[in-house]
Amino acid sequence: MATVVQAERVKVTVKDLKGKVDPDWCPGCGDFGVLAALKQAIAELGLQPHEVLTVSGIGCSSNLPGYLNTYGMHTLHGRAVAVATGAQLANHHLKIVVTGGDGDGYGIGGNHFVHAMRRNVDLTYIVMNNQVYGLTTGQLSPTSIKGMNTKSTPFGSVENPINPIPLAIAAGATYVARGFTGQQKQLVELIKGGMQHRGFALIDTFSPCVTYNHDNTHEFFKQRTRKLEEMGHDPTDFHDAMEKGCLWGEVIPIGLFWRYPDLPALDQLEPVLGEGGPLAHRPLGVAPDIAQALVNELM
Amino acid sequence: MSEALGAAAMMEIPVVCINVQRAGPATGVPTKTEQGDLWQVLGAGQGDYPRIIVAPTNIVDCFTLVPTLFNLVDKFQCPGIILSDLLLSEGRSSIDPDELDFSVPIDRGDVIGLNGDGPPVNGGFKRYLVTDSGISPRALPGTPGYVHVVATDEHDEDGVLISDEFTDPHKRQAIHEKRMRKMDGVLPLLPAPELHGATDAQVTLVGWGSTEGVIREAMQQLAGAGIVASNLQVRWLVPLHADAIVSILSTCRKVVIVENNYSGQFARYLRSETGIAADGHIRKYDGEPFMPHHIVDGVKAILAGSTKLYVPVHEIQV
Repeated sequence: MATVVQAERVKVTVKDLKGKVDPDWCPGCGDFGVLAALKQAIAELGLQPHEVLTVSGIGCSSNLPGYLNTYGMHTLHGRAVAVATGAQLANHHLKIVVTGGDGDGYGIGGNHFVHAMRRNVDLTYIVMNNQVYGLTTGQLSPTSIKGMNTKSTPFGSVENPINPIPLAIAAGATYVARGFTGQQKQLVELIKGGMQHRGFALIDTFSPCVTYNHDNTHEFFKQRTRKLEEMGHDPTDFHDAMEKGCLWGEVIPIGLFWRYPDLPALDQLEPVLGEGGPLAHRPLGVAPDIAQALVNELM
Repeated sequence: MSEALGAAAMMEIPVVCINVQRAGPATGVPTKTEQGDLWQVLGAGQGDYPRIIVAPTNIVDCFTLVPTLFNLVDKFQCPGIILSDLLLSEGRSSIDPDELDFSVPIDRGDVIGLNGDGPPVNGGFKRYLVTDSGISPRALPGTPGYVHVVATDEHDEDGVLISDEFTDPHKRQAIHEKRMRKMDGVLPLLPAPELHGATDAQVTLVGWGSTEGVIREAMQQLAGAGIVASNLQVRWLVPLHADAIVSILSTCRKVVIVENNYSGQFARYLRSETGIAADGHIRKYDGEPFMPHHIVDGVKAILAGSTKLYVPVHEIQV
């Protein structure tokens, strides 16, 4: 009698997740830390390269999918979350990670960002937040601090920056965290938590730009960041999460601000996706009886 | 927003977009009909990329074209645009249910991972393999052994970006030509437009998309008035059967283009693709569709030599 041999899952290591080319980021760029943490998280979660899809927009950090050995889409400036929402509904068995920068996600992509959170789409969104437009050589971004001198604001910015943490909590994201590339171990845990979370997970990550942002440097964050778990924070307390999310100054909290696991993700609410597997693999067409019923209805 | 069309073409992801033309938004009467978006879709997005554009000629055609275009874009991995208009999308007509074919063949093209996985080619999969047809192997994300990255930036056969290599003009040219070459394969699959009516008609009314019905009715009224008219209705706009159109129109006695816009968008497109400049134009851009007598009056005026461009005045009915 034939025996069914269960194919053993090959253990994927960080080395296996290396992409076809090396990053072209500046030496010392925070994005190296995010790439390393993401690889570590995928390996520790025991995921295979084909089970993960990374989706990005445009920017230095949006080049990330090309440096990772998973399925990837390098799309349009600001549109990564919209594309990822479509991909998630087309194949809800994929683990989808959206990667990009603050300009891409909080600027031009602000609309998609807010509505993906409102819908609680099952995505993990890692924003490499360096508070400047790096790829275009240093202009003001939506998270640049007020007064910052950049190429586009030579006399200092007059605008207030966006604060993605309370924005995300208010908009309906169900996992809201902030990481720092100077805290790799914590960052890996935050990404793992986000990828395991069923729903929209934001991991805003301080990823300092060594070339165009001389205000918010690695040293700047090293001196100010404090881990939420050391501050006695309860991530299930909405008011506490909002309050901690608004802190900015001598103490800047990093870690998990908010987690609300009880809300179903968008794909779980879509009856069509309940059974029958991913849409992408289903046969197309209209069954004759359904077609006839439609015609009868119109007659 | 049309940047996404270029993205689909670049990443070679099939997509069907439906543009229901109206005089708007932002340009007038968005609740009324117009054939004003031809040049919008011809040039939608930035740069050059392969696309298919088709204008349905009646309401049943809207139903028929959708699966036809899906099959084409799946095969050629490029965007396809249906250029409908308010007259069709919000119009009504009685149709025979037998005309609605629900069991059309669906052809997704060769997609690895759609009907079972192929043999894994770990690391060696060339998503953008340069081929004679321009069509490259496609694998669905999630398929084991075919991991790859798709990108809007120019890329090599394996998907690796080349836009930041200072710079690789040869690779860019090769992949660009590969993508554009796909259009050569589309044209033979599209039916060429055919002349409706007598080949020696006094006047040939050229229309595109939704004006077919009203032109055909105008032909009957013209016949009643002793004027023999024919009709060439163009449905597939890109790629265009330019040679077939030239061979038909070159023997026509008088060519008049009928369209629902101000600037003669189709007339300009036809001239750019075929060199044919029409003898007369009947245009309407007041938000309302043509009535048959508008075209009849236009033909009479043009045949009488009183004008080359006839713009009917729509009667206000209270």
